Amino acid sequence: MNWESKDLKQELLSILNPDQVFTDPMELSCYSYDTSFYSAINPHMPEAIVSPKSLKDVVELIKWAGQKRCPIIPRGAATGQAGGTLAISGGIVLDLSSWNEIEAIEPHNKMVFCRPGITYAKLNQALELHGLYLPPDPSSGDACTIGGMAANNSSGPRSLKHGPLNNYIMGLEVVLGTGEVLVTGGLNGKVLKNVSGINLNSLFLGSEGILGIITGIWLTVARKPRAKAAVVMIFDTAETAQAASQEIERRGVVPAAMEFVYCAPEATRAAASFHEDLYVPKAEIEIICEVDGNEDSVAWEYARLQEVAKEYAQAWHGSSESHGIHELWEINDNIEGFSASIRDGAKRIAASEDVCVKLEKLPNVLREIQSIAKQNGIGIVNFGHWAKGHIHSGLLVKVEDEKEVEAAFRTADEIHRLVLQEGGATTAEHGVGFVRAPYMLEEHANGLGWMVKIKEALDPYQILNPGKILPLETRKNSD
Amino acid sequence: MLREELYDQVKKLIDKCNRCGFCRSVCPSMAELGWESTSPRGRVFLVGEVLSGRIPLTTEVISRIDQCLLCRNCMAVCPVGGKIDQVIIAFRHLAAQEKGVATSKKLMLNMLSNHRTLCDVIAPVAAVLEHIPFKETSGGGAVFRLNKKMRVLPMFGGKSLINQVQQIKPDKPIKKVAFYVGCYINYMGVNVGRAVLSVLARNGVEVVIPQTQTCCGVPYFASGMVDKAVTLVRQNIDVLEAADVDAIIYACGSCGTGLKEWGQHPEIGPEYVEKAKKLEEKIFEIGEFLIDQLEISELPPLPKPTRVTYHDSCHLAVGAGVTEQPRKLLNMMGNAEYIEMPEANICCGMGGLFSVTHYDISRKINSRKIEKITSVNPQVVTSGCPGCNLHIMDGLNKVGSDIVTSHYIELINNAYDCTQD
Repeated sequence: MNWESKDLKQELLSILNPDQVFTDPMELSCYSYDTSFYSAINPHMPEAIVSPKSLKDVVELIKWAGQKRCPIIPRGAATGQAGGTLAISGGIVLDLSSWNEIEAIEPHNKMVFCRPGITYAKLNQALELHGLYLPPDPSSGDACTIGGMAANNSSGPRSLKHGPLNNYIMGLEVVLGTGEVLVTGGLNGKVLKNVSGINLNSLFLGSEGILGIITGIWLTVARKPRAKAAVVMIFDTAETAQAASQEIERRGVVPAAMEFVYCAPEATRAAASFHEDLYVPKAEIEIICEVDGNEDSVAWEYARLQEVAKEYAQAWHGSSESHGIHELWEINDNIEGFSASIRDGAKRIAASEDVCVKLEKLPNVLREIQSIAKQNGIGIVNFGHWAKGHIHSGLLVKVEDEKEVEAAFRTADEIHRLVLQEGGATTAEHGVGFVRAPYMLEEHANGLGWMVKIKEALDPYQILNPGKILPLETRKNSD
Repeated sequence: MLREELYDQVKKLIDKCNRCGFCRSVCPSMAELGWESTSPRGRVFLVGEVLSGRIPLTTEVISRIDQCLLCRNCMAVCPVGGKIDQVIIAFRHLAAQEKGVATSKKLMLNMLSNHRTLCDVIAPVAAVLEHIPFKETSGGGAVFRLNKKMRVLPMFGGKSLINQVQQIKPDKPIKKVAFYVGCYINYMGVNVGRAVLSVLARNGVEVVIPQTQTCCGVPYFASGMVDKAVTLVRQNIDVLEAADVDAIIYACGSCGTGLKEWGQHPEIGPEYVEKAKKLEEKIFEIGEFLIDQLEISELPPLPKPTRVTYHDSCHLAVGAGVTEQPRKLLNMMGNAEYIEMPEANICCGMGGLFSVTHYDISRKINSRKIEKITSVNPQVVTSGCPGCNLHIMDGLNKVGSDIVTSHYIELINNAYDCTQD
């Protein structure tokens, strides 16, 4: 973007305190990456980083940026894998991670108001004192921020039963691209049910900072389940695994989580150190299914899970004790880890890691993804959320080798294109960011045009996180 | 050139980082400073940039890397098992070579390595003179009489422990161990050392104190004075190997991490790495030894009902993996009402010399710890690290609390003493 400032630091210091601004290249370089492989290969330096600590800070900054046409990139903990927090067109990164107060917990109303920088783990720590928790549990929960979760509409394994973050958002405080502050979900207060007006919460959830900067989040939270149980099941084929998962639901179980690993040959060896009988040499799929609720309901669901496991799985193990459940998750992680360690000297990278397909297509798509990686000469580990048809692919790449890096990007592209061809989604929880923006037109057609129009209405100066979700060229076309 | 050598040494460790950011949430200095450059992920990235020559070795970068306490909490949560400490040490090695080590640090460290005999002479004198300007606290700290809010310093313990005791031999000993004393216990925390000896002897263990043992090397590695650290580590390995004992016991979390990690420093040479790895199997923290090796299941009661809590020293918990044993011991004593504080494993901010060079940050980190301690209102807060105890003592003094700080082994020894009386 074309914008300039004669003395950027000085201008920023007229808005913020000296300890809230950096323009030193060393500091900036630490904001040139997120968790994406893309950023490891192509770092993007912002021109400044700022750490706002109040609504006033953000409003004044956005107003200034609007005048200057300066890109503003909001950032939480940069745990994203899609380049959503990269300054691909320069500009200023807003590091919101230090603005992390929980301003109110109302246990009786099951309601929380927090600032964007609080991490998922810290929020839950505070809620735990009241027997409460926020159910959507992204795997990066220890590090990721609630602001980032809202901007991505994050979910996680247990969103199978409990839903993604949008089920828990009662309202947002957002600073639009003009500097105007918008409070969604009702200005005078928040309630647990509300259909008043167009749901603006949904508009901003998953908008990845292109429509506004989320500065405050009202959440409803839940009582912690009293009991849990889980089973790990090993299946010879993906089809058997699918028949089993359908049977689990048919018998009345509502699983909280149902995760899978597409096993590399011999991968179940990794489970044998826990329970020898879990070693099934030619297994294709491992599934962990967890149920939660009260003691009685969990006992009933656990019994059904065991019945199905006995009937369908080649091997299985279950537990209703917290230590045992923890061990089952460890088994799942170890099988995934084993499957990811099959190529010596290769690093596991995030590139095309978040696709979703119809359940009936899952077995075949998984095999096709395996074969795409093979054809491109790299390794792959597939795992994810079985009962949603949601696949995370870790590409196993020798990153020192340029040809392998090219092959990795090619593989990622082919996987995305395969999924689009199969009527799937290129991303189911990690977001579009920069790396998946090129697929948006194919995925949404005129829907993308409407997204552009919404963006133009809320961010008329085109300063908010340019190039994310909406490809830069799309915006140029609409100009 | 050193830069290239160091880059070769740690490049693989740096490249292993997939930048997931999990380390951000557990880093004590990041919690205070907030910027990405103050997170373990940021620091690993910066070290890579400097060692590869992409960014220059400036004071600003050095300052960011110096803000790391080497607490190792990031390593405990790193999904790829990143050896972040080795990356930081490599950088500090380069910084020490190219820009030098801060004079205050160098003076202190040189005393402990080159002038140990002088330390042995000064310690008993200082122990007497220190009482003029300072008042001793119940936990062995020194509070300045004219300004009680000034930083609590360590109180010298008189003659150094190594000079006081060479061997303790009970009748028919069931095991023979060597006590690795460590500098703090040797000069300042002498009572902690005496408690270790006494508890071991009371449980039928013969203890020798190898007389030529020296500093474990941790503060030298942490300051980038790697050559000096190598000399010290080698000396200790030789001494402890020659002791020919069933086990080596330590009672300082930081020393313990140092001892157990000697074998991970290729700088000491393959022969010593081999020796260190063999020794490692024999090294136990005092509580770990009492529970896991002696299988102690009973302890005498404390003289009166006492509410006790326990702080996990980062080095002891993350570095050496000792968390349960001290708690088991505390719970074993009658009259000890054990209360677990929330987030017992968060850092106290000490970080050895970090608290000297970065007292402000270190104090802020400590304030969080003090909040956790006072939230359970104990009478005694214990830990397995005299360094942590000193810093906790300082924090409690700052808020005017009368909670007593103690190494947990002193409390156990106290129970034995009172029962005998």
